[in-house]
Amino acid sequence: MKKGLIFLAILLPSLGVLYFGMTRDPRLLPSTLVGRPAPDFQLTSLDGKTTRLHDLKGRPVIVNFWATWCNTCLAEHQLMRQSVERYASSGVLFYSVLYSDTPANAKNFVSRYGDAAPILLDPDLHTSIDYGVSGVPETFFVDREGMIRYKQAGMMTPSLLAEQIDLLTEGGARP
Amino acid sequence: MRYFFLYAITGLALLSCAGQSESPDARAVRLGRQVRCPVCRGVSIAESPSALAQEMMGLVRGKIAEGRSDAEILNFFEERYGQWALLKPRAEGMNLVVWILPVLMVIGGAVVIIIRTGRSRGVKEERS
Repeated sequence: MKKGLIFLAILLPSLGVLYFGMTRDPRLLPSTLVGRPAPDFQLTSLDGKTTRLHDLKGRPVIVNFWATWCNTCLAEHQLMRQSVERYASSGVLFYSVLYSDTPANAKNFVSRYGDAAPILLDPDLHTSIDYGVSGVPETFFVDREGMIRYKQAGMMTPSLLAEQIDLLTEGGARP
Repeated sequence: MRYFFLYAITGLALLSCAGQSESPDARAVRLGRQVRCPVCRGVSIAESPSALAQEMMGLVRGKIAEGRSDAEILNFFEERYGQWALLKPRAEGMNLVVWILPVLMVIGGAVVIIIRTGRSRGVKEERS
């Protein structure tokens, strides 16, 4: 009886720790990149234009990693469309980086669901790795000085987006 | 004499290992096994078939070709994904518990076994 209890006293906490470790969502861990300069990138968009993050200094930038195979991204796409329009005059720039997907899929997606932010291609996933992306959608809020101020893992909500844009623009982007 | 041969064989084995230099591919796999695949559960980038893990392995190989050290390559992933990216946590801060606890448990187990064996011997001697 006593031996059984000792065995259980060792086994149960070990199983508990194992379960905790296996069920933790790594995307909920705070990003090590927040508060640090956003990794620079130079990516080509679906329409062939080249965008370099460094050249956008002085304007707040929202970088959204997404894919056409991600259902959450489809829901978020509508929010992105509305936001691009809503904040068009405020100087906030939106970019969508295509993660682990093909340009053909992205073109089909846009023709079906409409255009939102410029879609940047990351064929070798190096930009995704530089941003520590571990799933989509993930969104990074970069301030005018090129520093990452916030990272959202998972779907954005209108209120979260408005709040973060407010912080990036010191309230100057309120429509 | 028996121990002399044992030591000699072990020594020769160690010397032969020290003489061998690790190939870049083997080094990439060794380092890749220390980096957690961000889109998998408890699998290293060396073992994952996911596109992201394959690209990360490509970066490991590229950095080896550039002449980067093991620490520099591991730091590259840690800077982007946090310490969570390392399958073998660094032996510092709270992580020390992970390193020390198993050793303490082995020592504790050994002590329990020694005490129990000593007791059972005592009982046997008393009976005889």
